[in-house]
Amino acid sequence: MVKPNHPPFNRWLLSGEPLSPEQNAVLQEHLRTCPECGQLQTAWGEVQFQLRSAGQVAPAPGFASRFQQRLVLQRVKRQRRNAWILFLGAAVMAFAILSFFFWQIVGVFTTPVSLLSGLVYLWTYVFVFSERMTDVFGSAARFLPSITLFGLVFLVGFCTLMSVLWLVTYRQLTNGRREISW
Amino acid sequence: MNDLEPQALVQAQRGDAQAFSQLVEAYQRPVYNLCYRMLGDPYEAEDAAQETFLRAYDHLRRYDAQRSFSTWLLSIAAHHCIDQIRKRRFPLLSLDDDEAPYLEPPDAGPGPEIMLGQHEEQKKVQQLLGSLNSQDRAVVVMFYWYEMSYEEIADGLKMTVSAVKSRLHRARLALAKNWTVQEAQILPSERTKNGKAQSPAF
Repeated sequence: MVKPNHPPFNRWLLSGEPLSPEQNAVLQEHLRTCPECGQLQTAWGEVQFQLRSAGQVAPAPGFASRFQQRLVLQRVKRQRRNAWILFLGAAVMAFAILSFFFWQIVGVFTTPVSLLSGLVYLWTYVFVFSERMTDVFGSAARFLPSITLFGLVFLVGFCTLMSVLWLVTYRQLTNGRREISW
Repeated sequence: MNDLEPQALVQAQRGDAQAFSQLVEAYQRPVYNLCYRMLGDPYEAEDAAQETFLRAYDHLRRYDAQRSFSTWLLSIAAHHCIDQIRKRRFPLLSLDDDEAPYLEPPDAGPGPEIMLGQHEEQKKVQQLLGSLNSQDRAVVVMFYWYEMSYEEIADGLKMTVSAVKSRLHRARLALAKNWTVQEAQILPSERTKNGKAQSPAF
């Protein structure tokens, strides 16, 4: 068994750097008397031969065309992911807007029947709205396949900001009317 | 290793898919070889090599033309393979005969004995490499198969030159030790085989 306990000899043996004549003489002298370092020298010589003679292995034929297929699959996957991000962004926006409307409706309807009919109306509205949003953002995702994640975040953020702005404006306007009616 | 015309690289950076296909054609072999040497399994190596080119395609705009393209590409492959090895729960050094990598036939058209011999040699090399940790393995593969300098390896693997030298020394020592162990295991089994093959008449 090779034991790495003879520095600097094993360092010289494994360094691969050319030794000075003096170092070489000292090493040869040591190798004559040390079977462990002799074994290390033989083993490393064999390993080096194996490493240097093992050529490069090639992939199976058709690697480049398989890569092209994979690239196409990756693009499709990204389109789907982008569509999902857009859809989730739209869903969050829709939820925020509908929550706001719901809050308004609850305030308007006083009897349980009117509240129930209002909820049915709201549920139908949500369903139709989500279908429309899916259509809109699904088409957008198909037409904008190269949009980057940063661009996507920016777009969703911008839409959310505009929606919040719209909601605040709407709320202020409606509050204003109430004040006038009072 | 092929050094492509800078024009092809520039075109690929501008999003020319045809130019990038040329890059894949030119570098498929060195990238696959690195992945195979790192992972030891032809299917995993194919997957890793494909993933390397996908990552290169995604980040091609970030490539600094001052650096060697092959070093940049091989460093992506090496980092991906190191990550794959870390993710493994169990060692996957595949040495089955039916999972041998595709070896390009030499021009002379070797016979089955030569092919078998080559396969045995590849197995031995993979067994030796499999005994190293992933970082040391990457250093050894880059040094011996791609003849990279210490500086190039350090640049590719994001380590210092002294760390490369130290890893290389440690890896060589481990390889020599493992070679001795392998030989010690092979010799008794060959002796046993020869013993069984002898006729009782002798």
